[in-house]
Amino acid sequence: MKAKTKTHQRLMAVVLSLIMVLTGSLLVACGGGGTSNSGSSSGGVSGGGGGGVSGGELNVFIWAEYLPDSVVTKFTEETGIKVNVSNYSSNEDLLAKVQSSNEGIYDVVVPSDYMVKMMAEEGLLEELDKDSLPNLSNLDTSFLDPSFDPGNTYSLPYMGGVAMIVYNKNVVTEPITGYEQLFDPQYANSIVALDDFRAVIGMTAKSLGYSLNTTDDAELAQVATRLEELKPNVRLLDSDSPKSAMLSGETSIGYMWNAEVAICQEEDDSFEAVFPSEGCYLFLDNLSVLKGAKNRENALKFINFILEPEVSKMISEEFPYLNPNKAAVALLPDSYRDNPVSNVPAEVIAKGEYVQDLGADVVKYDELWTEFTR
Amino acid sequence: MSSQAIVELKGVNKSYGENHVVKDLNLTINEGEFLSVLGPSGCGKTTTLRMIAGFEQQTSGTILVEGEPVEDKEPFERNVNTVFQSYALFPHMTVYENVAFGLKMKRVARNAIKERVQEALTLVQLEGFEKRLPLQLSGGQKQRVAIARAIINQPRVLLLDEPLGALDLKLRKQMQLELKRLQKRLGITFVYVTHDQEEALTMSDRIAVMHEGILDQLDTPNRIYDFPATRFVADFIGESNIFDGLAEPQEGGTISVVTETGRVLCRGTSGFTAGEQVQLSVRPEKLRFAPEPKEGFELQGTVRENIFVGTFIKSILLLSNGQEVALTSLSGQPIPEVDACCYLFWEPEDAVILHAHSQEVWSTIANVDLSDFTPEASA
Amino acid sequence: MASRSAPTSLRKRIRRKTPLLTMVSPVTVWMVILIAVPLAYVLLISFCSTDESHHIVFAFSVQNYVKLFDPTLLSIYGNSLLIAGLSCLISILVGYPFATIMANSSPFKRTLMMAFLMLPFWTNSLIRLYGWRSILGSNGFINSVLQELGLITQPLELLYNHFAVVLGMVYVLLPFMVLPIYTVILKLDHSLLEAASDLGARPARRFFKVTLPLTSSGIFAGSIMVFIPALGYFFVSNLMGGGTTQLIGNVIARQFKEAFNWPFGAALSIILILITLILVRAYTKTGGKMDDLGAM
Repeated sequence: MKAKTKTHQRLMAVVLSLIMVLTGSLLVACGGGGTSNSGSSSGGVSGGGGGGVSGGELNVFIWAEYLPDSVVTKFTEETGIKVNVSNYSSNEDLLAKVQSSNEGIYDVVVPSDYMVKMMAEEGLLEELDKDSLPNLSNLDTSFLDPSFDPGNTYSLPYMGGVAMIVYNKNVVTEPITGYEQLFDPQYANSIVALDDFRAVIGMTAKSLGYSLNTTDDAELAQVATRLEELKPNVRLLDSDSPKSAMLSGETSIGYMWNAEVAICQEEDDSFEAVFPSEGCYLFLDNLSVLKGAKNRENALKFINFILEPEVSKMISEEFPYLNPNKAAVALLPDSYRDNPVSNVPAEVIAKGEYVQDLGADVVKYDELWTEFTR
Repeated sequence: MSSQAIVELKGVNKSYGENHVVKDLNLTINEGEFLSVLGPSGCGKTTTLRMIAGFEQQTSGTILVEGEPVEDKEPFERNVNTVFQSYALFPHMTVYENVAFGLKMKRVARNAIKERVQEALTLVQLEGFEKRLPLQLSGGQKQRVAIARAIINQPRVLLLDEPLGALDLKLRKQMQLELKRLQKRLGITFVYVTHDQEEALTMSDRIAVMHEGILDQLDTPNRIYDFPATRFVADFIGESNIFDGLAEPQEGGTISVVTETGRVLCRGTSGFTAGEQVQLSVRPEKLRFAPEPKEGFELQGTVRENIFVGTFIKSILLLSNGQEVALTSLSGQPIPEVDACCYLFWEPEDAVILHAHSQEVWSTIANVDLSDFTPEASA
Repeated sequence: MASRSAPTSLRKRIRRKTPLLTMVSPVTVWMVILIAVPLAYVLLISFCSTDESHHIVFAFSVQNYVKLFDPTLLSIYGNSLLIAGLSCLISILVGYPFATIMANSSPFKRTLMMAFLMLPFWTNSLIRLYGWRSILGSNGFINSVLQELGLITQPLELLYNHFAVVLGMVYVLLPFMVLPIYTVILKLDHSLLEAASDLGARPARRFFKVTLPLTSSGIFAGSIMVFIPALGYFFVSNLMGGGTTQLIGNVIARQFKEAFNWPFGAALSIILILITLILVRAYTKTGGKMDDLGAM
């Protein structure tokens, strides 16, 4: 009896696994068919919609909340190119996805400064053909030829920003001019800073007059000591919405992106914004074309399109970052143009510093940060 | 046997919402007796037991244990202990710890606990099982542990809720005897709830038969069997042939009863009036064949079946009104063939006569019929 | 006889050859692909290192494990264990009575309580934690009310400390404590409690001698399901602790993201996995059932 049930079970197992295998392969077959079908049909649609302009496709891989739909629609209307947009939420995500996907999945990517350098060194980026990018001239030269991509071989600036200081005049009576003052013991437990080890450690290095990319052990030893002084002053680390802590009064001094500072000031005029005298931490996100892009032509068309003043203005209106496109800035309202917190002055940019990939030395920063946040 | 009351229930009622499960129960349990509460499931017997234990609070009435009302006492304050139907052994404790539990709760000294646990385990023949877990015991062994655990506190009353229900027949018979012996030895009052009439008859000093929340009869097993107080008791305890009819008291304490199938006789107590509707209960072994009509009996039947049941033969007879009756006779005695017609009778004192007042529906219909019939018969 | 033995031997032969095909059920295949392979990979790279451009170099080394004994990391581990332990303890103290009340309620109330417990899960826990921030903040609900009532003059420090992190953990993980305990209490044989009362146990002793031991498997299951995530839920410490109270989860997350040090992150993770395995082993050793852990 027992033996019988056992044979039964075994039989069932065989049958079930056969079913699973069969359905599995069917699913795969269906999936494959489905993809190719949709591919051809969408091709047909875009060909028709394009009305013979040029047509084709473009795959854009960009940060979430960074590219307005209206811009994509406008591009498709003008060129007949169908745009597929995918998103990532960090440079590391971008790198991991590009490295793990097949070549040609994405055409245009938008890495930040140091990531442009990393990706270029990895051979992941295509050199840009400047001849097909006439709108290049719209860009502010202070954003061109950056340290991370000399001569803009692989990238052109999209949007950017600086990390800066904001403080509540009603609470902090002595005016703050630079990082130096953030280490003052009188501001115990009153700072909100970006939850970003490169920003905080970099700021500390800059307060000592060093580069925010320093890997010098002697300098970093001083930075370590300095971080210990900063620690009691930091009430909160928050990258997502540091302005909230300022607006709610949890903290009286903030170290955050200029866009957040601008919102703080809009909400409450007791906030004073400061570009630290020691120089700012800059970030710049850049348009690049991936190596092996299937739609290289379209990618360049898209980049050139983005650099049009009207288009760039549309982006700024929806996502008010620092816009490196001076022709677009000219079109933006006074409230943007005349506010240095939004339209960061060229001398601040010139004095600022981009974060660089530190290679194996990143471990030193990680250790500093682990100690700082324990 | 001392007849001092140890538990008294006075006018006890218990309802769950609309559901009235125990109705006006008056019951006195004597010290040292083995009292069974017998009835089918849903008769209120377990509820009664749980009210005595304190797991349920009566809706009205009083329960006295050792002469004191126990309404305000929690189960842990009552000097009664329970053996549960499912044994309810603590699965995370060894046999020793289970048995010792009651003493530990009473903060008895360690040495004394050890001694008394040993004693209790010896009593239930489980020496050497101290370290086992309930999981490692058979049904019978669990039962013994449950008993040892319940008696260790030396309660005045031990409440047993169908304790043998889960055991197989053979083990049950054996445990019945053991329980009875144990009860005699300990001299504790046992209140034993069961639905098994045979079990109740074998073990009890007295039986309380409950039916639909009502105490139908409280008496010794003998008297319950021989003199059931209600038709339900007659039916539930053993097998009975029930005859409906009208009483006609005679001289010298006998009552003639006119049934649909003819006149029969019985020995009656006073309290039956002429023309009163009654029921007769006659045990199959009291029913006899007669070659010719016996005086006072007009009962006739046709043999349908003769079933050989070892020491006796059971005959099923069909009466003229279609009613079936059973008759048992010892093997070897001459009995009529199947399909043979025969006369039936019994010794008048072997029939139990009952007032039929509970059978209202029947009586209203029957009254019409029999009011016509009675003048004729008496004429 | 002879005719019968032929198919038997054939069947035997088939049986001897089939295990590879049939015993490896599709579920097993999935388990291997989804769990065993990634775990093996984590274990493998935990013995590797990285080069200048952050590529993993497959050269065996135990340096990542040696680095684990860095005093700073040890103190973070200690801190994580402390916070996870506290979260666990408070979850038990809050969850046990809740589960008891729920198990002893009418079916309607039970459903209602279950809904209260589970409904928040329909909202992202990040958003719910932001809600806590607005309650506990300096100008938050609690401080405003207390100041309004004149009970305090300076706002209480309710946020950005260990207390807030533990509170956040308890808040996010409480259902994982309640559900296993609730299941065990539901299964608890009521007659055991009656037996204990009957034998003279007062409610408190009955609870500690019978109820608690018999429901301890639920507490243990719940504790595992609270303790382990509490070691790793770095977003809770980020939001409630203000990023200045790091858990081991934060350190691990950073290795995989900003620090590009996957091998070290893997080594840190292996330690977490080991702690998990030890706890689960202890759980099953003491009679816990894996089903109760997977019941979620």
